[in-house]
Amino acid sequence: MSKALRDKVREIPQAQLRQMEAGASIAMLELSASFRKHVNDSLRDMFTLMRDPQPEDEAWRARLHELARGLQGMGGSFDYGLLILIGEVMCQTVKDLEQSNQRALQRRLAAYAVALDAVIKVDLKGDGGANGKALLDVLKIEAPVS
Amino acid sequence: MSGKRAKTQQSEVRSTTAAARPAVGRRMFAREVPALDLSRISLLVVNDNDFLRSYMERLFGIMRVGNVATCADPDAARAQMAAADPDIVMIDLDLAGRDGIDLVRQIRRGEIGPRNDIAILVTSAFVDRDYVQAARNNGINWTLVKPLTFRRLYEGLARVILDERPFVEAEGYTGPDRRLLVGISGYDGFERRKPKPSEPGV
Repeated sequence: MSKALRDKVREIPQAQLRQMEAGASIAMLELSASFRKHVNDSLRDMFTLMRDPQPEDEAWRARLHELARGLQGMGGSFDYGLLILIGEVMCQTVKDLEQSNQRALQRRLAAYAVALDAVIKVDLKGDGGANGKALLDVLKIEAPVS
Repeated sequence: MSGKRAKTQQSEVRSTTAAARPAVGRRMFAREVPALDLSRISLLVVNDNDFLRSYMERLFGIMRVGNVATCADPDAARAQMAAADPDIVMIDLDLAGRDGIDLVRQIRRGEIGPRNDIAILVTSAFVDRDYVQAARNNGINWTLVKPLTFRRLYEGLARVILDERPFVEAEGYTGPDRRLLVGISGYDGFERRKPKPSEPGV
């Protein structure tokens, strides 16, 4: 299929790859600090929004969606699978809110925000093991195959 | 001790000599990810998360990928495809969803970008999602399961670069041949219907 693509690369000693990996480990430490800051800022903004819910306000919904989506995206970097999953469900719930302004949906959104915060505070990486499963059970979110 | 060092140096010399060869065999890839010089590779990353884009740019920089362009969504990617002329497109399906699959379909149909056989790598946290299956049926080369660690990103690039499957252009499908599981656990997918020595007629 891609001979032209294969021809663009050449093999180099494995030692060089190991060197790159070592460099990546250092970069990951720096990125981890940036990740924490981004996530904490997003959670702070999310809680600010949730304190004064305005589900009929399009701008309010858009901002909440943006924050949930941001957290969903960031989950893919440092193995916070639950951020991805809960963020995704939260995005969908914000969209559902467009159709009907139900108190139940608002309560669910508040629960998702608390759950996202808990994932970071308790440092639930990957699927979170038994704690992650318990969290998803409480939120009534089905754990996917990953 | 010194003998051991000499042996190590010797093997490094062999590796350096091997550097002159462009590619590696598919059997080798099943055992160990080859170290590759990616300085001539051009990559387009489609991801709507600012942090993740800068995160990947940083890691691809460490891998010394020649050129990394990023864009926030499939629409921006459509606009950028011709100018960037990437060798590999990486799309986050969890974020782009159906829009990402549309982008894959358009690339394979030749509706955008300079050619339809660009290597397409998608990323997702969930392999059981319908959009991952849909992406496969629309001609992606490989799915990378999150988290996107350095090693995983590197292996994803190496996989699509060294993908030896033929490119199929049929009425209902355009993309790499889906029947061949090259390099997985040493199984290369070739001659799988060939009778085994123990079977009748051999």
